[in-house]
Amino acid sequence: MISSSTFHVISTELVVGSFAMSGLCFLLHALCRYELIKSQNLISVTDNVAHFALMFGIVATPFAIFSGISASPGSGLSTPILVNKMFLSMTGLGLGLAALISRWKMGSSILTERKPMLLQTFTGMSASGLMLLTASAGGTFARGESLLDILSLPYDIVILMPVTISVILLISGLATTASALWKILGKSTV
Amino acid sequence: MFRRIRILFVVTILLSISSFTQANPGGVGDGVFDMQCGGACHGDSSLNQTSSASISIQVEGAPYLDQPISISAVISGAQLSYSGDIGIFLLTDTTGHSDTPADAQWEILSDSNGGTNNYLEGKLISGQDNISSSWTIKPTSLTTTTFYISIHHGGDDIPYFGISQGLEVEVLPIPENLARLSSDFTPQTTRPLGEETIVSIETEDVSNVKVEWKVEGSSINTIIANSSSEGEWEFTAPASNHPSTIQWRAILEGDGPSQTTPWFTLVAQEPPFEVDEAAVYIQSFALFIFVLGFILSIQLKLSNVKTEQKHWEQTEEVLQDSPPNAPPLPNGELPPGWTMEQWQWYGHEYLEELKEEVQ
Repeated sequence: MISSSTFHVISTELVVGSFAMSGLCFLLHALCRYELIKSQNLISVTDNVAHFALMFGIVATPFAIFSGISASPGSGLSTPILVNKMFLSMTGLGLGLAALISRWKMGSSILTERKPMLLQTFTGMSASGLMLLTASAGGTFARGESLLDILSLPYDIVILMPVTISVILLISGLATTASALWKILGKSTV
Repeated sequence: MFRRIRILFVVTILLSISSFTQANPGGVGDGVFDMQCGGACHGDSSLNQTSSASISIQVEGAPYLDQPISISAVISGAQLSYSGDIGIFLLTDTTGHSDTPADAQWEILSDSNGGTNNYLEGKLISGQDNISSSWTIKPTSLTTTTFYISIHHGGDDIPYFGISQGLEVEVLPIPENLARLSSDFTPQTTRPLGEETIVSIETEDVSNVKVEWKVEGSSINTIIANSSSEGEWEFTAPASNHPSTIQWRAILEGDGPSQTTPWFTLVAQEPPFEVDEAAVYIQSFALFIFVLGFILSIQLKLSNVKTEQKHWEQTEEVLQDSPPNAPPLPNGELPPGWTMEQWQWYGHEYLEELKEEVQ
C-alpha cells in the first residue's frame, strides 16, 4: 500500500498535466477561431483534446484533494497556504466541470458562435490557471519555492467569508446549478 | 446514461473515502488522546507491528501533592533512523481508554512542544536515531500512579507501535514549611517572538528564589528572581527573534526544606494559525457550486439567444418552399374547379395527364 503523500504526488501530477494540456488546447482553439492560426484540422483536434484532458483532470482532482488533506500535517488546514490551496482547487474544479458540462450537453455549437466560444475558452483556461496556481502553492508549501514565486503571491493571506455568506452563496449556487442543469438536460443535443 | 453517471459517482466517492480510512502519515497534531486513538489512527490495528525502539522514562522532582514533577522520555533505536513523524503518548495505564494523566488525577502543566497535551508529535530526522519529550505534571490527589510512554511511528510502509515499562509514582503529602510553588501556579508555556518575557512564580513558605534557565545545547544561566508582592516572584526571560525553546527551574528557599522545581518549558513561537475548518469547507464547496452554476447559466443564456433566433427566423424555409413557375393556362383560362395557387403547384401535372389522354 502506498502512503497518502505518494498518492498525492501521483494524483497531482495527473491533475496538473491534464489541466495544463487542456488550458493550452483551449488557447489554441481560440486562436484558431479568430483565424490567428489557420488550420481547420487544429480546430477539431484542440476541441477534442481540451475537453478530454479536462475530463481526465476533473476525475483526478478529488483524489488529489483528499490525499492532500490526508498527507498534510494535522487536520490539513494547519497553514494559510493549505487553506488557499483548498479554495483555489475547488474553484478550478467548478470552472472545469462547468466547461465540460457545457460542451457535453450543448454540443459543438458553443464553439462556433463567438460569445459562447469566448466564454468556453475563458472558463477552460481559468480552470487550468487555477489548478496550476494550486500546484504552485503546493510547491511553496512542500519545498519553500515555486516557479510562480516571481509573482510574490500572497499565500499567507486567507480571505475567509463569514459562514452566513458562504451558506447563502452555497444555496444560490445550488439553485442556479439545479436550474441550469434542468434546462440543459431538457435541450440536450446528445 | 444516468445509471452510468450514478455508478461513476459511487465509485468515485468510495475511492475518495478510502484515503480517510488510512493511517495518518502526516500526523493528527498534538492533543489529549487515549492510547486507543493511537491504534485507530493507524486504521486496522492488525496491521501494527511492534517497534524495536528503546523507550526510557524518568521522573525528576519530589512527587508532593499539588507540586509539579517532570517526566521525560528518550526514545532511541535503529528503527527510528528514517525521516518521518513519530507520536509519543504519556499514559497512566495500558487498557487503551481512560488512560490520560487527567484520568488518574494528574494535571499537565506543560509539555516540551509548548502545550499541555499528553500526545506529542515529533519529527524524526534521517540519520538521527533518537528523540526526546517531556511533560511537567502535578498530582491533584494523594494517589499512586503508573506512567507509561507509548510511541507510534512509520517506516517501511508499516505502522509501528511501542510501549515502555511502567514507572510507578506515589504522591506524598506536603511536609510542614516546605518551600514550594503555590498549588494554583500554572507556568507560562508560550510567548511571542522578539519580546522579553516577564515570568511570574507564585510560591508558599518561600523567602528567596533563584532561577536557572538554559537554551537547548547551551550552559545554564542563574538569576535571582525579584519579589513583586507577598508570595509572588518574577524574572525576565530574554527575547528570542526566532522560534526556540528555553527551559527554566526555580530553587525555592525558605524556613523549611528547600526545593528545586522540575524544568519548565517556555516556547517562543509565531502565533499558531487557527481557522474554523467548517467555514473553510463550506466556503470551498460554495465557491465550487457557485462557479459551476454561474458559468452554466451564462452559457445557457448565450446559447438560448441563438436558439430563439433560429426558432423565429424561417426565411430560409420560405425561400426554399416558393412555388415553381406556373405553366401556361389551357385556352387562356383555369380548368374548372382550380385555383391559381393549385395551378402554380400542380398545373404541369394536369397538362401532362391531358397530353397522355389525347395520345
